[in-house]
Amino acid sequence: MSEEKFEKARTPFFFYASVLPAVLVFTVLLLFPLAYEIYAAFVTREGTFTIENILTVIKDPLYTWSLIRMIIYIVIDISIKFGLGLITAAAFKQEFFGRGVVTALALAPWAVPLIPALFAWYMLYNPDFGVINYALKSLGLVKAPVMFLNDPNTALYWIIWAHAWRYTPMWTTMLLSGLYAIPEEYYESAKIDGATPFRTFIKITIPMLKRFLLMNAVLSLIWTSGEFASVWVMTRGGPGNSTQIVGTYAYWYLLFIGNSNVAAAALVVALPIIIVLMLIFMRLVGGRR
Amino acid sequence: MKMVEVRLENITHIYVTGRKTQTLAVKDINLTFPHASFCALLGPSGCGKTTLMRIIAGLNIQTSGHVYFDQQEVTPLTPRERNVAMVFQFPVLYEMNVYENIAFPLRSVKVPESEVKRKVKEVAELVGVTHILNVHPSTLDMGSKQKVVLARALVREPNVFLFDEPLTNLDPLGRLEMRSKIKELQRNIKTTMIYVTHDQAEALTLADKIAVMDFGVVVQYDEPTKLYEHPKNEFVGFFLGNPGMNFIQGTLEDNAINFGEFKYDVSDVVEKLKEYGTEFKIGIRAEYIKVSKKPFKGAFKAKCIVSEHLGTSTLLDLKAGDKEFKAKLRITDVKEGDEVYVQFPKEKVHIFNKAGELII
Repeated sequence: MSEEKFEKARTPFFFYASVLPAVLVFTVLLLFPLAYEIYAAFVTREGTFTIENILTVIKDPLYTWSLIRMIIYIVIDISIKFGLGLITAAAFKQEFFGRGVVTALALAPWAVPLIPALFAWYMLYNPDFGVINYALKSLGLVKAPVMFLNDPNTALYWIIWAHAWRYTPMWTTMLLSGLYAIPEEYYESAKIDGATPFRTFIKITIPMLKRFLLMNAVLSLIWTSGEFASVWVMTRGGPGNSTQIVGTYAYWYLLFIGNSNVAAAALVVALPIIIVLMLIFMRLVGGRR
Repeated sequence: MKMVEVRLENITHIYVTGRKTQTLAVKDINLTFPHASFCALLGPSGCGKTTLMRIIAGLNIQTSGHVYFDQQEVTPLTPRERNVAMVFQFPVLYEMNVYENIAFPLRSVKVPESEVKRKVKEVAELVGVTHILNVHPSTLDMGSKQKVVLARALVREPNVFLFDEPLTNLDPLGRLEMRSKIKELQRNIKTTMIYVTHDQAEALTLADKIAVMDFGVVVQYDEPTKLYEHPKNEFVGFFLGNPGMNFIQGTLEDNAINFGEFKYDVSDVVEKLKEYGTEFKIGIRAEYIKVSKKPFKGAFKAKCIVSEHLGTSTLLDLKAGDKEFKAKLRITDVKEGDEVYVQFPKEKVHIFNKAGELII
């Protein structure tokens, strides 16, 4: 476009026309569903204003437990992803034989389609013909098969592990780029100052990764709070509701009880809790910011 | 604080990168840096000066050769055990406040907290950062940052202070400031200091002795004035000084070196010169050349091609025949295109052979 044409086109109309597609997408995909959901939580099926839905949800002990489990899920999940992600990132930063292949393998969990991956873990956990139990029995480590997903006390944690396993590579790549951003001179300076590798890692490397950690943690928080697939695929919320989290609770209420307003309420009540958690994270990790 | 003599004996270092790619960084270096002296490693990029510094620090272990601090061989010792301090090209400050940054080296070796507090306060006062001890370094300006870096280096009372081109990333004003800070430090603290730089002006101002390096070898190791006035070869002569020494090639004929349009009398040394053949280069620094608009005894004609005004002095590009050289004058009204009269004072001329090595 020639200079003159460009200058002439710089009108308010042109500006609005250019951003319109982005605004449309944003509104339709994000704002609209959110607004509608909040609306749905506060009305009856007929459309009259009510807080009944909210009350039903708050009074239901199953829901309270779902909330608690959601928080447990988020905390353990992020801890695993952070810990494993950091260790693998630090390991991959060095040169070693077969590095390319190992990196590809380590990133594979993320690349695999979600439902098949979750289903695969479901199969692995199976007490009768799952590979894990088979291996444990063959090695003589257990006599009876381990009830991974069938034990109400442990099921949630095995689900969390499968989920964390799948998303750790995202943390690994993010942290790896964060590690590369740290100039060698910092490690040299620490060496000259007499710090052990461990001390260097804790006092120098990790603080310098703060920005990356915070970004990842907040993203993880938002995505995991609405977690649904991992629980639904592996246990449907069982055994005996011991793995119900907010996402599955809402779905179950929608599909089996048929009340979409209560389902919306379930999600809306969880919203402020997520926001509070996010603020806590930002305080903990961000510090000055 | 101990003042240590650093001695390098037959240091050779080869870098091995990737699969079997070998690069010779320094070859057979023998240097002694005296107690409490300020010595510079000067040379162009890639000459091996940073490698040498890292070997002294203990960050790289030399392929062969020995490093001694006083009489002790320090090759098996870690950087911390050698007790060296290093200042890098940019201020390396950890993600913690200034106090903790300075305390870091002491805490890393389990110095008791009461000791730590005392030492940090002492050094903070010395360097002038007491008022910002609780501040996070990211909010500080470049000058303050470097001060904190110095404080952290000093708090350990190092044997040797190493500087890796610390002024390179500063703007000219910052550079002057830091340079005087370092000079001040040099006066107040009697520690052996080794300074790596590619800036010859920096080295000439700061150092007691300079090791000029090129392609992994030490070309000449001497005091600044001796290097400046009596360079061993063309490389040293040209590298030092702003502008570098002029080198003009000519042929020995009868009792003079002939440059085409002019001659330089060498009757007093002609016998010695004959041993080296017939092709020679003379070296003379720009500021020693005599230039005048009027003819005088012993002068030859030249034309001014470029005249650069540098504030207190003027740099002239002069040409006589096909020989070009630069002259630096205090005050002059010589303009481009003028014809001038030039003479090389005998006491300031050095004669080099064709390869650029000093003869006289």
